[in-house]
Amino acid sequence: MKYENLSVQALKCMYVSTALSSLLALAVLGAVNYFYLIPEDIVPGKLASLILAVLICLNLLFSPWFRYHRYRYSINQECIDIREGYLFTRRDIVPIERLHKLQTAKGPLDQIFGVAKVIVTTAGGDVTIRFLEEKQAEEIADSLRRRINQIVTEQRNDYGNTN
Amino acid sequence: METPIRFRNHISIVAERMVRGLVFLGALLAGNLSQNLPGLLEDAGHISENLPAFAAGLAGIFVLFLILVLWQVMIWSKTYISICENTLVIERNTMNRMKYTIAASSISNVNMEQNLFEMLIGTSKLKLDTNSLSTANKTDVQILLKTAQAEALKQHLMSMMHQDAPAPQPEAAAMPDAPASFDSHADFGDILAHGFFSISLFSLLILVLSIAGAVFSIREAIFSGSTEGLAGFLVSFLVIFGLFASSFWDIARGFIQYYNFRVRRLEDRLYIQYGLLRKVSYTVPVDKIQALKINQTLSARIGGRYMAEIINIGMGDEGNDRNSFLVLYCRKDTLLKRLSSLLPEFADSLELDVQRQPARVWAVWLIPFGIAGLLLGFLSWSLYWFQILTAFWCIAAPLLMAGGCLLLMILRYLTCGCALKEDYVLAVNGYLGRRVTMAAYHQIQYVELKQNPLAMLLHLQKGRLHLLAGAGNQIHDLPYFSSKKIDFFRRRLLHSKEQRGYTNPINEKGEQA
Repeated sequence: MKYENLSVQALKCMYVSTALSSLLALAVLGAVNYFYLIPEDIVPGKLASLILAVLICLNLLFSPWFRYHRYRYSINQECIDIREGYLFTRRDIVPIERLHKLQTAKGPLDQIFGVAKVIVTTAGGDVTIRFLEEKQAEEIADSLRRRINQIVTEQRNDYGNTN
Repeated sequence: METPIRFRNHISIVAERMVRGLVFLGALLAGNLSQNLPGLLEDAGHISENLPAFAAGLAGIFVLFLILVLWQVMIWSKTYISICENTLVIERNTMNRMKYTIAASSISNVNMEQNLFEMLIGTSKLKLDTNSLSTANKTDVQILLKTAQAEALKQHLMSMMHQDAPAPQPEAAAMPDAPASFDSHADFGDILAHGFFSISLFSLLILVLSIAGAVFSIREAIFSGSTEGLAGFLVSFLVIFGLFASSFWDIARGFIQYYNFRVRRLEDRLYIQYGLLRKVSYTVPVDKIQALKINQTLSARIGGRYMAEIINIGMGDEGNDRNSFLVLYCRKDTLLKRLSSLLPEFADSLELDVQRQPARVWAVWLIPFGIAGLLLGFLSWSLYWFQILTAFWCIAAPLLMAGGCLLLMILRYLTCGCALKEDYVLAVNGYLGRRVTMAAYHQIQYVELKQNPLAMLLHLQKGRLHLLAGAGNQIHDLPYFSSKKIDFFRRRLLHSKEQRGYTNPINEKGEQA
């Protein structure tokens, strides 16, 4: 199976989205420390906040890079195979003939960096292929739609031949 | 063009909906009462001084009740069910108009149910489920009719669902009462054994603690002697009684709910009936069964008993019917015999060799164990810093919890495993109890596989199977297995229709091959 990589735009998008979520987390942590933990001098709380802050910063520095280089996807006549993750990796294998619905979606950050996601729906749940270039996402969605139609036609022909 | 059949629900549906609403309000009221009882008891003495206000309040409640009844009658009168050609249409022409169209081919289950009230007035509820994930957790359509009309409608819908298949035999749907007609019929002893082995340790613990709490409350109230103590006793007694009743029902349900449990396999359908206070009749197409589960509680593992459930859309939706039993708790040889006649496609599930997780999984578990240990240690130190725990408990508590975690890990290692066969995946999970899930590759919607860094180094993988089922049965864990088996798994998942190891051994005449 041939696996595809993500474009450089995806890496930028990952860094920006991680930065935003990290900033939000640090802001909440800072507020809790400023208004409660420091005035009350709660040592365990301050220590926990320090550890969390360090972990958040390390996550911001390293996780997008690792996630970008680990992200692989493959789409062929039979299945969609997606590998992603950072410390804990995940792989989704979806047979094409299980697909019920296809959707392309773009969040606000996705639109800035010109990336999109393709969400495929089976009867057992959704699987998402993220950080694809817009044109690529449309091509993938079109080819999946054609393949699904082909499968439905084959199934109808098989059913007709059986009866 | 065929003239559409158009009808309404039986009018008793108004009474059923009102009772359900009243039960819900009653539960809310009971909750409020138990919280405010001392104050209410005090105010009750002053009712005679505020009689007009009290009467006005009662009249208001009565008017509200009347409005609700009229509203339900209006909904009933404006709701129509139509059957035209190959579709079922439900129309509600109230202020919120709704039209719900279901193609007969997408209906997966047509089931019948009769509660106590329906038994008294001679009606039955028809429950329809479709092959849809979005409505997998609830019944799609419920139709209430006179029992004979419900049976006739069920037959008609079944013939619409399987237009190209042979029509179901009339005697199959009528379900004769003589036990000899069923492939499996649970007698009183079977129900008793099932109830006993179904008892959950957690419910038993709550029951025992409730009794102890009630005894303690009574003792306290008697010795305190004051009216405040008495009011407080009533409140705590109500709460404890609620807990007791809930746990008692959880235990007793196993003995009552599956009264007269019987199952029959005819052609490609399973007919399941059971119930005492609420009679239920399920018709399950075998090709809609997503997987089979073999369950054992701790007492069942000790006693050598097994129970089988089927996973499909249509059973296990409603709160009262979370379990989709096929075979109640029985010995292994009995279960094998019953599965061979009811679901021969899955009869191998008991005999297949399931491999435990590889021993190197202990190394993989070090990561979550280590993280949990660090968090526990930090939590204990924080509680010591806040002077909530003494130094002794600061050390003893994390050690005890770590010991508990280790025990759970040992139980999990001894219980869990999986087997990747030519046509099926078997996943075994549990700690004290044991659950075996057997799913054919062609029924698995997709697979999710996970690894932590140590698992990657040690070539281990765990995963999840995603099936078309309700929320409780949609996802099934695959314990750790060797990564070398992934290619085989993927190949069988993608080529499940080739070399299918089983065929329907029950031929069209309903005879076993």
